[in-house]
Amino acid sequence: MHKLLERQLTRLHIPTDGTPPPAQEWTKLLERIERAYSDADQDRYTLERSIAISSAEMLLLHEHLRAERDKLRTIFESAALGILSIDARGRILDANPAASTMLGLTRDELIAKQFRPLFTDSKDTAVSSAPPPSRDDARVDERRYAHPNGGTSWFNTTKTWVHDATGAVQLGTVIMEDVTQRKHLECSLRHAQKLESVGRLASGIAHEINTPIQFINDNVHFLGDAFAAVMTMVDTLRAEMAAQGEAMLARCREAEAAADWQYLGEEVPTSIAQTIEGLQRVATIVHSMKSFAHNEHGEQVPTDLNAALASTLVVAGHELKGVAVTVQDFGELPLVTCCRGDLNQVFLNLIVNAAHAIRDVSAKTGELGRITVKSRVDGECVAISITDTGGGIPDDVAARVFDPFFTTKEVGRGSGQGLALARGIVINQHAGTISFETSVGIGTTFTVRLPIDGARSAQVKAA
Amino acid sequence: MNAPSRVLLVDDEPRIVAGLQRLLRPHRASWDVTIATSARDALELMAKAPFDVIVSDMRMPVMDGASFLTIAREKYPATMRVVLSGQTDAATTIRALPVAHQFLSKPADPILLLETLERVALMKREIADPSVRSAIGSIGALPCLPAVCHELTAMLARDDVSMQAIANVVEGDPGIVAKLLQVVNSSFFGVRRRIASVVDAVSYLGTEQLKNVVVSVAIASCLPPKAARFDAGAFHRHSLEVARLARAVAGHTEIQDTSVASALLHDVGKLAMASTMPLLFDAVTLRQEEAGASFEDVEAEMGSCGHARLGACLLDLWGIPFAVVEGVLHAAKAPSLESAGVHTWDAVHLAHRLLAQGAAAFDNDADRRYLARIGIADRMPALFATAAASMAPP
Repeated sequence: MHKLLERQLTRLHIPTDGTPPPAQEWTKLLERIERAYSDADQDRYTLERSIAISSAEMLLLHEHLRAERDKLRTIFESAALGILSIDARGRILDANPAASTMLGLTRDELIAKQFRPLFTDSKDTAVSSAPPPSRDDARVDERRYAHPNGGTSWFNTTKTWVHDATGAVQLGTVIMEDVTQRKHLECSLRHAQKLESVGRLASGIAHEINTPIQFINDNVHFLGDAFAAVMTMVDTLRAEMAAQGEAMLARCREAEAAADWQYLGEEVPTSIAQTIEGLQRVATIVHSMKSFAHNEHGEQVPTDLNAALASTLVVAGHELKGVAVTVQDFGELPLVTCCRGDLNQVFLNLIVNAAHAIRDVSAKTGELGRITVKSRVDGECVAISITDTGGGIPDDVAARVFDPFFTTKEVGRGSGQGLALARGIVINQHAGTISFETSVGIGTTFTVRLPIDGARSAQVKAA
Repeated sequence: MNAPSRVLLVDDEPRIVAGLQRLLRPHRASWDVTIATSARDALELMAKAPFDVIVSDMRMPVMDGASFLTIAREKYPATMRVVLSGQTDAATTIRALPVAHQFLSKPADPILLLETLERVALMKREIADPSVRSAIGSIGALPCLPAVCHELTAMLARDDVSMQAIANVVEGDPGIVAKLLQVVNSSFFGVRRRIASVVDAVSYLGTEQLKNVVVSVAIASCLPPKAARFDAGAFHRHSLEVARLARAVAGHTEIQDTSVASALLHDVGKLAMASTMPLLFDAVTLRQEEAGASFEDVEAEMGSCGHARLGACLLDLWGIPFAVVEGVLHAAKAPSLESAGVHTWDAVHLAHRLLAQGAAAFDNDADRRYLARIGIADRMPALFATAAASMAPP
């Protein structure tokens, strides 16, 4: 018998051996049993309610936790900055999608890799071996990264360490920001500043050179005229002396031979003519230099592109000497609204590249190459093409020629900036296009197309 | 033979003036050369005896070329002023613009230098009266219409205006056209070919330089001409109408640009007269109205050298292309040159006469022969109609 029932029976003096109790006691017992049942019901109800409430709370809490977790995950997953989680030894534990996009490697490829050797050029030396002791020591490093599929990026990385209660490093977080664009802009800016100062210098030098050219030229012309007068005079005098008799003529001949007069008569005019020609050449170079460095403060003005190309070829003359002959195939062009100084730079880059391409080939064959500079009107554009007889561009390189910092030239010969800058100037500033056709072993043609009415009208038409 | 022209060479670099002096030595029959190595020396020399031409550097210590030429213009206006400068930047150009007749850049080709000297000295032979020479020589810029200057300044401040639109406004003012062609044809700009088309000139200069030209013209000459009888509105309208007709006469040929420019400028002599010789201008105009004769006939009657010659001399002095100058010279009188084909002077002359006299004036044997010779007879009916349309009141 349940001991609760036994206690109730004892309290009501009902025998527990099964003897029937008096009716009065029995009624009481039934009443108590009923009360007990209804109490139990009540209790169960209360219990059930409280269980329901607490499980709802549990659910809410769970939801909340999940939301928090998802939020953190989403931040990690969707952050524009690359985030790497690393262990104390610099091994990658996790990477967010931005990081894997930036690095061109999947998350799985990244995990367990060492962080530091990923980068080719980094000023930071002690990363994994000795993590910094204090959590305040968050350093920003600029790192150069070579993509596995080609191309170069620059990242700013910031590393922070998580320490445990004893101060030992547990985990690290690396935040990576892609600063390639900014780096590129900085480079362009530096380049532009350099060009500007070179331009100022060139026009100052041009002025300094022009003054002596003026008077040297005047003097040489004077000497030419004067010598012609002296020749006429000598002829007259000789004729006069010849009329005086043989003896006179013989003395005259003697004097002429002593002075080497016949030679002088032939060579002095030639030497003067060649000097004048040389001066003209110097004047042309100075003029080209000045007009090449010409900068209208970035203003787009109507420009004679054939003249711009001609002066650029003069400026590039030194690079071309002994490498290639140039062919100027200039068509009749209208004035093109553009920034002449910047386009000169583009043409110079293309011409120098062409010369380098040819030099690589002619170093083997020993033959002169040919650079053809052609200009034509092409609908509403002007097309300038520069064709070389170099080795052409192989397929794997062709896809990347316009990438900033990409270069196939040995260190010191190319910065990898030339074509990227050219592309920026032609496309962004002039709403033009730049393209190339190449066949290995035959040569390459770069073509620049510029809208005649300038970038503004091209944008208006596009809109 | 004429006495040689006196030329004064001024440059702070003694080798420059010495070199130029030697260069000119073989031409001593035409040129009597004096040299100075400072503006002060030059002014002292000028005070002693008059010179026909000055060739001056721009950048010199103490007194620079612009200041020197400004004084020279004031004191000795009949002396023609040529700048020979190593500086060809905008600032130098602006300062030289109002005071120099011609601009040469260092190093100047000896042939170009001689041609320029001969060109500026030409006026001495063409215009006998020294006071007229002084009047022409002193002109830095011709009077322009303030309204046109304002419109141009406003236009040039915006960056959505086409070169053609700017050129259209420039063409409304012969004073600005003359200055513009002077600047663009100077060797400062290094443009090899001669430019007569206003839109080409505007394009070559670019808006920045054009702004400078407009400002310099406006400062020098936005005052109305002094002659009381000069009607600026009528003058500008007439210049534009003749230009429009000259364009039609020339058609789409190589002489169209020079014809239009020449027609626009064909009366600048009157403008020069009205601003520098106002009494003479008023007298001729008065006599013209009284007698009902043509301006040219009255000038001839009064013994004046004629506004066409004045205008042509001024433009020649400024180095405007020869074809344009010839057109100005022959605008009023039929060219006596027996050449076939339509030349610039024919286009300007025909346009001028068609507007002044109408079709009937050509109904005579001499003109019929003239029109047949230049091969334009069959196009005349159409041109008469065009002329009649522009003469009709709007």
